[in-house]
Amino acid sequence: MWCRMAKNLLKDMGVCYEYIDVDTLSAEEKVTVKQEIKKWNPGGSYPTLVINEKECVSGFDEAEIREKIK
Amino acid sequence: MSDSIGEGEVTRKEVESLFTRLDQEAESGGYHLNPNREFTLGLIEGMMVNERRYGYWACPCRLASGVKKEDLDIICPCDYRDPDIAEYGTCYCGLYVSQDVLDGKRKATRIPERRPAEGMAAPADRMSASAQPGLPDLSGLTYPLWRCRVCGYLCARGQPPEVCPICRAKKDRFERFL
Repeated sequence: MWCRMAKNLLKDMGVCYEYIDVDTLSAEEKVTVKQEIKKWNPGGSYPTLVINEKECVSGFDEAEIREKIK
Repeated sequence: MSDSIGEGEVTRKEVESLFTRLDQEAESGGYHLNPNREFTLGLIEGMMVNERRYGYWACPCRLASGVKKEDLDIICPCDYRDPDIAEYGTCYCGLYVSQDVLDGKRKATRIPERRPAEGMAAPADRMSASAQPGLPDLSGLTYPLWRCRVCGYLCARGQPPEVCPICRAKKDRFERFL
């Protein structure tokens, strides 16, 4: 639900984004993707948003997302 | 609603029906569902998708392994719900909230994950009291004491109940307490 809200917010903001629904991946893919997520967000929580390969927002926080995407 | 999940088998009607049931059960046990109805319906839909996918209500906001034994602590209601409601006014996903949040006196926001990170906690042997060091020797007890890991309900009987009478967690969420 928080992931859905994050996607909706990005849509509303008119931001271009790619996403991966980790729960729908195969077991092998999950391992790889989880490692990548942990690089940005050691807690490994969802959603994890990586902005321009520079910044990360862990979890859905509208204010933080708006602040970091300007 | 179901279009965004991609497993369009869960209908709005089914989600609303489970919402009604969970709401009644929550209120009768002293718990409260999140008053934001659409948000709550979205979470319940996620649980239903997980039930079809894994066979149980894995938390809709956590990544389940798909192995029930490993996911027991995040089957809704999760082991972390009650301490999270007490501390933050909401559980991790936001399905359950405190009276303060229900009354609008406190806002439910993003909260930190209480679940130990992967590989940090060995699964406890829940059925054996000997797994817990430092317990007094109460081998003279007529019945073992069982504790619900979700809400703390205690009962002394041969086996835990099928369903916790307080929080509705299933039998496998009980641990031997004494």
